[in-house]
Amino acid sequence: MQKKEGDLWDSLSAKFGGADGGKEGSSAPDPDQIYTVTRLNREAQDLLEGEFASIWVEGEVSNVSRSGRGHLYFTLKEEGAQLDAIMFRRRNRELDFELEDGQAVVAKGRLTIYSQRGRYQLKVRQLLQGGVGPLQRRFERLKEKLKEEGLFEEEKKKSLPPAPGAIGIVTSPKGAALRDIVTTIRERFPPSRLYLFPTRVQGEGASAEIVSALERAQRFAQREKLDLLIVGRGGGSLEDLWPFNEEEVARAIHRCPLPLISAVGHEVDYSISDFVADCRVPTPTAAGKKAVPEAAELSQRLKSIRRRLVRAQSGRMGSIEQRLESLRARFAFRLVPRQLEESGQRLDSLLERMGEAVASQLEDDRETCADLLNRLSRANPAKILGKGYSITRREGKILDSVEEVELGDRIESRLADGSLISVVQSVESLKEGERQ
Amino acid sequence: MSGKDIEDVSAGLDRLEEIVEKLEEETVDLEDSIELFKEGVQLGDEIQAYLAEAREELYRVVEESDGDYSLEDFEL
Repeated sequence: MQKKEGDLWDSLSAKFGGADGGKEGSSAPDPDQIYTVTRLNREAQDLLEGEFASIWVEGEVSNVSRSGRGHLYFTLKEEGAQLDAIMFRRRNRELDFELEDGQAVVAKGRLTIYSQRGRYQLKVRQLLQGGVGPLQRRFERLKEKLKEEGLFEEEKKKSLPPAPGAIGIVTSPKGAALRDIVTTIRERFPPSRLYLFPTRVQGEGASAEIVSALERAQRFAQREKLDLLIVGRGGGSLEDLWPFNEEEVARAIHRCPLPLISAVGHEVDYSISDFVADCRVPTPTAAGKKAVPEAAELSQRLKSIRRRLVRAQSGRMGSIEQRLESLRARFAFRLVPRQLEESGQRLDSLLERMGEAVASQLEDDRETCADLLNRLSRANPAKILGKGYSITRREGKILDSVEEVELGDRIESRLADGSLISVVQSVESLKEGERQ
Repeated sequence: MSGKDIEDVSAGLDRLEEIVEKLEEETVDLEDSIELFKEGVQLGDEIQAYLAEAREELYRVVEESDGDYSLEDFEL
């Protein structure tokens, strides 16, 4: 309301010349610019009625009197301020309580000017006894207290998971809120698992039930995967929403180690839970939207990354092939049996793994992979055995020098299609010049 | 990142992107590249399968007195 009054003051100043805006004050007035009192009252009335057409004001009732025609006159006051109010008979007939001095009320009406007296007053259309005023004060007091304790600090808020696979919903099983949340999530991101932790969300004892549902969700999260909680309910009166303004609910939300979205009420409603939660959304539907990404968008992203994956790997094939060619050349001309064996094994396992990869590749990538597999296969040094070379081991160890065996040792020679077991009958070293 | 159900699809996509970037840089050796490629293909399959899943159920979590819980299908 602070701002509104400022706006009104600005427009009043502009229209009538403010306290320091009266430059003409010292000169003689232009007769055309002089207001009659009636005109001034009427224009001021237009402004007031336009600006404060339908407002709620809280205050304590005093000076109640009823006119002969049945209208109610009273004053709304608080310490150091008061406001005249009138409630016409037509309206006050609907009152369900007797208006008395000292009552706390909330009045809805329009601010106007009673021209005969030049006094402004509130034309009351609706009057609520007690209730809302104290609730609102409790709301503000708790909000202030928790804010000071740091429960609303942005830095302490947890970030929401980008694509939660399991979501807990703490709300009434009967409300429209549940349907809105579930439908929205199912439409956007069908794979996520949804768990309901039912609780009452209004009425006596609801706040304790909400706390207990939150705690159940946390215990569940210790056994099962749960990435996110949505806590909320649909719109309602301040009284209906009240459980979400209770301190025990606020503290339970603050204690909760899981990221949490608060969706209480509808659009304009704010609750203490909203301030404590990691994220506040205006409606249950908005909670569903905030909770999950669009699966279709993720599929699109996946498609483009997979395309890059295949492109990157086929791009590498040129260099892979070259390196294999040079390996083969080295083996062919400088036969180093150990390297041959090891490279052969290594290639075998690479080929095997490549094969597995190919097996699970998409259809349109299959050709590329099969091609890669073929080229790798052609370069396999194991094929060199087929050209008449062999690998010789003693007790499993590959021999690369005659000095590693003694007469009578059993040795095994691996050929392309099998093995020979021999006993060493003589050892002959090559002379220096004859060696490879 | 193993098993049928991918733990976190967003983390999976990030990992897949990281694999592709490594392969594109061409600094990894042959053996590692095939290992990465294989991982990438598998991961891609897992993510695709996960995104194609359409769950219908909403489970109502019922806590038992012994601290255990059961899941009941909840009809909207």
